[in-house]
Amino acid sequence: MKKLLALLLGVLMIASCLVGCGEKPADPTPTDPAQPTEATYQETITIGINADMNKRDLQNTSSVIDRANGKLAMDTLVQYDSEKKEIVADLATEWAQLDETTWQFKLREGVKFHDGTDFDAEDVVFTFTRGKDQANSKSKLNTIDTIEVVDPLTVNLKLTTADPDILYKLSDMVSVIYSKEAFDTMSEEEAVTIGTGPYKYNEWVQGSHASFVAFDECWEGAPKTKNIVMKYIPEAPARLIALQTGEIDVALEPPATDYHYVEEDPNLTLYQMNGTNLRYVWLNVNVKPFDNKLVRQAVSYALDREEVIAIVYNGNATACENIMHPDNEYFSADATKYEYNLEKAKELLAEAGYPNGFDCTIYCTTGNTQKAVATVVQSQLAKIGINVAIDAQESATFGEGVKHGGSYDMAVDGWGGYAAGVDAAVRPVFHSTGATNRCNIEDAKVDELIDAGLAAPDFAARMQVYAELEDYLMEEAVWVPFAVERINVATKSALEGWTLPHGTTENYRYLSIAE
Amino acid sequence: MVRYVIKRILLLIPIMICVSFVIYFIIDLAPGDVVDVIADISAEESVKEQMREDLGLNDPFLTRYVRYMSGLLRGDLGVSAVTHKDVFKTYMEKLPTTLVLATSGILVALLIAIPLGITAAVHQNTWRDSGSTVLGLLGLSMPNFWLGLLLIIAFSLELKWFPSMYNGSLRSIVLPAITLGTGEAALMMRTTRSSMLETIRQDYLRTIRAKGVPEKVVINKHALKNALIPIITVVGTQIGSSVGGAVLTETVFACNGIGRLIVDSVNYRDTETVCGAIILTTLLSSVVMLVVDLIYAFVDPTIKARYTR
Repeated sequence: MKKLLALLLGVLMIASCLVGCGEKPADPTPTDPAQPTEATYQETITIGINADMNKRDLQNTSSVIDRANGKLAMDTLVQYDSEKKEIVADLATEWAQLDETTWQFKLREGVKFHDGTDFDAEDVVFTFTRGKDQANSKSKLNTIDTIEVVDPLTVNLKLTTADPDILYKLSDMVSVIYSKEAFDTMSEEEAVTIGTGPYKYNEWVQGSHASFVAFDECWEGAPKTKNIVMKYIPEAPARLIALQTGEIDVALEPPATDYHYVEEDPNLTLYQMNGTNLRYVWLNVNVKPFDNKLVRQAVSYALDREEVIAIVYNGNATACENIMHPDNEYFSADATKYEYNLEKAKELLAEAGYPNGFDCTIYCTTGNTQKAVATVVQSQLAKIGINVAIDAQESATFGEGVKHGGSYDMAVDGWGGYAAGVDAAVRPVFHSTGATNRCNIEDAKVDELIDAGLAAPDFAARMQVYAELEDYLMEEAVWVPFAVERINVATKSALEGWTLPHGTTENYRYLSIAE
Repeated sequence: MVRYVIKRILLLIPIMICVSFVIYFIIDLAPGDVVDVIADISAEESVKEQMREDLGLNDPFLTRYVRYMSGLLRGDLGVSAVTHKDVFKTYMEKLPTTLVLATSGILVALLIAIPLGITAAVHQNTWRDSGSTVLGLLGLSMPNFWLGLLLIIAFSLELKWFPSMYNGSLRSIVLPAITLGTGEAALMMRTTRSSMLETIRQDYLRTIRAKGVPEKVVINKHALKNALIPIITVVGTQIGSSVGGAVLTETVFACNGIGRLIVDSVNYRDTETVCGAIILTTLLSSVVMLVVDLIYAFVDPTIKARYTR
């Protein structure tokens, strides 16, 4: 017995030593002790994140967390200001459209990369040339034809076609500016971490944490907080408890049922804001009986959005009755709406030839929200005689089944393409050539309106086109949009510098806690 | 004994081939692939096809499997399609955390199971026997994630004794170890009980008792040692299963371990990482079982004699 215990203790001690080598605690010490410490601010801010990190190369990842990490270290030419709802300067100080397909950007002077080299036009040329060929940036940068250096601080972007969304695309994290010299002198894995942002990558332990240290020579000035740690805590209740115990300073997406703990605690604050994800159910127009517009409209009338929001989101979501995100500048309040009306739904079903309803299947991923939405939809459609079976699949299987041309009847889905511009918001999901056209709509009028929106000369003309498109698509009822999901963040009350996300990207670079 | 060890090591080769084939085949059968998960939602189909081509996913199953195995024979477990990181390096980064968790969990389980098992056996069919059994089964019945959260609320949030998440320190391993160990203790307790029951009825113990040796010494020195073999077997099996199977405990306490790596990789359809991690875990479990077999020899001289023969 004693031998056995001694053996186990020995193994435990050896393994403890190994842990010291393999993974450090998520609280890094500043890399340079000679640096003066900002005495008035907490030195390290730890953010409890809800998803793991995948890659640091932002042209090769679509992960929200990778992008948030990138936002700490990297800059784009322009950025989207969510409060002003407009494109503002970043590494480019001025820009102008010279003709339909040529944009000129004046670059910021005196900007340094983390490796000490200067930022100039060659870096812009390198970044976009590389980005046109990388997996995740390719589709967003595909309208860029050539990039010309006018002088070291001026570049011209020649586009293959008129693209009103180009500034939105350049504000996306796939367009962060990389250092050409870093790619010439370092491995690609290291070079993608060299940016011009206020924080430098320090540690990056997949499955555990990423840490960042302040870059004091940043063109924006040295940040108030010396270190930012992004700590992966998969369980939502555990994230909230870690915030309550003070182990972390920010908890992303605490459990919706536990918001009252945050609201009751004077030391904690809950931030809630509209995210970019619009939650909806799509109906497959290739499959009977959803090929019948009357059936689709009946489903639209039978779904009670308020009930979905109350049950699934505990009231923490914004009702949405349009295929366009309500925060998008091209949102039309006049589009066709479907007030909850069971009698009308039954009438439409009878008119379509289904007075007793029918059987069908709703597909969703195994995510909690998606399954909950499917369950509520199932119970609501039962009231008009539609018997819905739920088929929950993990994301890869779901992704395969919902491809354009697929045979799913209907599915719970989400769309967050609104931050990359209005064309990017509608083309992938409704154009007959759209990569994410899962409801399989192939309608000449829709294609025509989407193409007309791209070619429209100014905002007013474009607004008119998109208003018509939104009305037409809602009339066709291929989507039943019902909620814009909120971003929910619990923080210590003393935390300052919280800002709205930039497009789809959370911005943690200005966070600080005064001591 | 050396011949026995060599034979066991050689047996690992067909085991590894079977494991790799089954895992590779099962992942291939599942609909969807890694590109469906990692590509931007608005990425065009042509872009996704190019990604599949670059990753070699369009090749037939056997071509991909043979390519994977030829890498494996050279000691190359491949690179993750999701993170672009070397699978072996990723595994080794997470292994220490998992080993600490597995061994500390076993330690907690032993501390609970052996006293309870002995008590249940020595006081068979009394309230102590029933009480020990109920306690053991309670530990087995409580879901890990639920127990873990309760422990966090009690000992981190209210009493502030331990951190709520694992950070590499010894204090932070206490709650995950209790969570994992409580579940493992039940099987060990039942094994200890039945093994002890069998042992304490043997003639040699009656002789020792007749000589006037105190009951405490009879049980702890003479009976327990002979009852240890089945317990050691269970401990070995539990260590093996904890390496890849402690995913819920790892998730609740934010431990960056092997279990979570495997589950996340399955969700991503990251074939290289899933296969690599399972092969290495199988290898590790086999080594643990070999070590357990060798420990038998030290505990029981009759087994040592058999190895020598």
